[in-house]
Amino acid sequence: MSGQMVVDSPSQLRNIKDFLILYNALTESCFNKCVTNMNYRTLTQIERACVHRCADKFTNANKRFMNEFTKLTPEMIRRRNEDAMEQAQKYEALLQESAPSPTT
Amino acid sequence: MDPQKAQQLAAELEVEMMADMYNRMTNSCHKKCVSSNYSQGTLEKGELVCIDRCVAKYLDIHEQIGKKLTQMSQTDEEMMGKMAQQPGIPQTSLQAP
Repeated sequence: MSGQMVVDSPSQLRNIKDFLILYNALTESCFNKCVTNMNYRTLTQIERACVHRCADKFTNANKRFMNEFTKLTPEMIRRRNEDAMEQAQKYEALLQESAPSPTT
Repeated sequence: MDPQKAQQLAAELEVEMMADMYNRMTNSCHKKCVSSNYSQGTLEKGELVCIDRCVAKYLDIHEQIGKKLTQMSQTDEEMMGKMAQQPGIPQTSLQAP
C-alpha cells in the first residue's frame, strides 16, 4: 500500500494517517464482533458476510459522524471565541479603571 | 516536498500502522483465546491453536477490508469526479484520500 501513497503536504499526511487509523480500528472492531468460530483457521462464510456488512456499517457511520462534526464544530469554536473576546474586553475595562490617570 | 522525503514519510507511516495493527491484533486475540484464569504460566494446547487461528483470521480480515476500502475510495472518487463536472455543486471532500 505504501507504494501508492504520495505525501505532498502535512495536511495530506494527516489525512492519510487518519484514514489508516480508521482502517485499523475498523479491522479490530469487525474482528471482535464477527469472529466467533475459533475451530477453523480460515474465515467461515458467515464470518465473511458479517465482516462485509460490518465494514459497510462502520464507514456509513463514520461519514455521518464527520458530517455532524463538521456542522457543529465551527459553531462551537465561534461561541468559544466570542466568550474569550468578552472576557478579554472585561479585563481590559477593569485595567483601564484601576490604572492611575496620568497627571501633568 | 521532494519525492525521496515523501517516500520516506510513507514508509515510516506504514511501519507505524503495522505496529498499531499488531497491538490491536494481540489485544483482540488475547481476549478471545487466552483464559484469564492464570492457574498456570504456560499456554495450553487449546490456547496455542486458538492463537494461531486468531492471527490467521485477523490478517485475513485486514486484507479483505483493505480491498473493500480501496474499492469504496475508487467509487467515491468517480462519484466526486462526476459531481465536479456538474456546475453549481459545492466541493467538499469528507472521505478517504
